[in-house]
Amino acid sequence: MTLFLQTLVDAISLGSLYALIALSIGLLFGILRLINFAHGDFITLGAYALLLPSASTVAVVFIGGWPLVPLIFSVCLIVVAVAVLCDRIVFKHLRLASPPTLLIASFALSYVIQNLILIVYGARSVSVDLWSSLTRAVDIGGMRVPLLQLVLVAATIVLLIGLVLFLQKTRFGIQMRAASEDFAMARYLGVKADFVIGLAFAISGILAAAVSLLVVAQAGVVSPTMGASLLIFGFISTVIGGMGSLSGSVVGGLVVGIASSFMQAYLPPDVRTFRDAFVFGFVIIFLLIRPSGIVKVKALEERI
Amino acid sequence: MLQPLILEVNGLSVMYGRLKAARDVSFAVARGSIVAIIGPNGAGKSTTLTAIAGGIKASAGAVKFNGENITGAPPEAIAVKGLSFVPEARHVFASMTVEENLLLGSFMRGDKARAEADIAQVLQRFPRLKSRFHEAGGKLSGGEQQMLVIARALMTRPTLLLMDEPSLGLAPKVVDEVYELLGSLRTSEGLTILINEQNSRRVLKVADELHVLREGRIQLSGMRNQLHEATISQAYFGIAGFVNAEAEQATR
Repeated sequence: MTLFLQTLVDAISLGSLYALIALSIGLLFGILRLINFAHGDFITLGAYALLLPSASTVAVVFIGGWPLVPLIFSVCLIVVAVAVLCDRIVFKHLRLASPPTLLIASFALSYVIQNLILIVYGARSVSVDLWSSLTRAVDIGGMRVPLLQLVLVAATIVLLIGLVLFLQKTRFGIQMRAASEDFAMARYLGVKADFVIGLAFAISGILAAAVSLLVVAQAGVVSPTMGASLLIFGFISTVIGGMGSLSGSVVGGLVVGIASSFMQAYLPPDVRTFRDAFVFGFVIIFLLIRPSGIVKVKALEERI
Repeated sequence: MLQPLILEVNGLSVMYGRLKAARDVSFAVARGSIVAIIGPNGAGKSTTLTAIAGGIKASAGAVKFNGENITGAPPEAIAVKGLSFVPEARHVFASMTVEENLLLGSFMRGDKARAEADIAQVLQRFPRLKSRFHEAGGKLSGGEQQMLVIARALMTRPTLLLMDEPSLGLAPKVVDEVYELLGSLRTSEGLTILINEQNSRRVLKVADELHVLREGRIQLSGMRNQLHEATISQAYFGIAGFVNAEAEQATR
C-alpha cells in the first residue's frame, strides 16, 4: 500500500512535468500548426542560464545562487527572450509554410541551440545544487514524500490555473483561442497575427523555464541533451491528449507520467531497465485504439 | 450619385499558382451604397473580396480604401481601418461562446466601456443572440450563426462591410431576414455594403449598383435601375439569348 501511494505521488509529479511540456507544444501547435522540437532546448537553456560557462565538472553557479524571486524572474526572462527571438528569426519567415516545413525548421533550430550550448558550456553534464533544502522529505500519514515533489505538483497547478484564467478571461487569451481555432477569421477581426504568435512563444518560454528549474532542483544535474529527452515524453503526451487541445495536453501528460511511474515500480526487475520501451508500447496501443487522442479536436480535421 | 468613393479597386489580378482567378478587376464603391457582385460559381467573386480584405495577395493591381492605398496590407491592419470582411460559410468560433465571439470584434479598438455598450446595442438588434449569449457558437443554427458573424463584424464598427455569399446554405426565410437586415443597416447606420452573391435575385432587390463577374473578369457594370434584365442574364451566363429558369430567377 505504501509503495502504491508513494508511486502515485511520483506519478503525479512526473505527470505534471510532462503536462507543462505538452501544454507548450499544444499551444504552438494550435495556433501555428508547428510541432516545436526546439522546445526541449528551451528547457536545457533555462537550466544552463543558472550557470557561468566553465570547463570544470562542478558548475560555476551565477543566477543559480540568487534569491528565489530574482532567480525565477531572470531565468524566465532569458528563456522567453530566446523563444521570442527564435520566432522572429526563424518561424516568422515561414508563416505560409506547410506543417512539415515548420517541423523540420524546428529540428534545425533544436540542433543549433544544442550545439551553441556545447560550444559555450562543453559536452559534460555538471552537477548543480539548486534549492537542495527542497529534497528533504516531509511526513504525510506515514509516507515520506520529498518536499520537492509537492512543490512540483503545486507549481504545475498554479501555472495551469494561471494559464486557464489567462485564456478564458483576458482579451489576449480570448484572441489566442480564436487564433488557434480559425486563424484567418481572427485576423479579419483585427487580431494581430505576429503578436499572438509571439505571445504563444513567450508563454511556452515561461513554461519551459518552469520545467528547467523543477528538473534541475530534482535531478541536480545539467546536461546539453536534458531537454531533448524530456521533449519526447512531452510530445507523446500531446499526441495522446489530442493534438491542438490544451486540456487534452494536461490529461495526456498525467497519463504518460502515471504509466511511466507505475511501470517503474511494478514491472519485474529484469525488464525495468526497458521501461521506456513499455511506455512507448503502451502509447502505440493507445493510439491504435484511439488515433485522435483523448480529446478530439474538430478544427484539426477540417484543416488537414 | 455624388457621394465620395469609399473603395476603389484598380486592375486587381489574383493568381492561384498558374491559374488566374481574378483578371484585371476594376470597380468602385460609393459611400452609403449597396453594391453587388454577381456571377456563377467559380467566377472569382470570393477571390476578389478576399484579396480586398488582405486575405490573399494580389499579383497585380491596387486597392484604395477611403483614398488610402491598402494593397498588400495584412488583414488585421485593414480591419482596423474600418473594413470588415464576413467570409463565406460563416466562420463562427465554434468552441467559444456567443459573448466571446462578439467581444473578439471589439478588442482591436481596446475600449472596454464602449465594447459593453456596443454589445448591448448589437443584442438589441439581434434578440435571438441574447437568449444564447453564454452558449458555444457551434451550437447555434445556421441562421443564428449568420446573424452572429454579422453582429461580430458590426462590433468592429466598420464603415464598409464585405459580405461573401451571405445566403449560402440558409433557408429562404432566413435569407430574407439577412437581406432585410443588410438593407436596414445601410439606412440606419449609413453602412456601405459590398455583397457577393450567386443568388442574384435576392441581392438585386437591395443593390444600387452591380457588377457581373464571370471567368475572373467583370463582364458588365452599371446602376441597377439602368440595366435590362436580359443584358444582366447574358453577362451572367455568357450566352446571348440564353434563357432558362435560372436566368429568369437571376434577373427577376
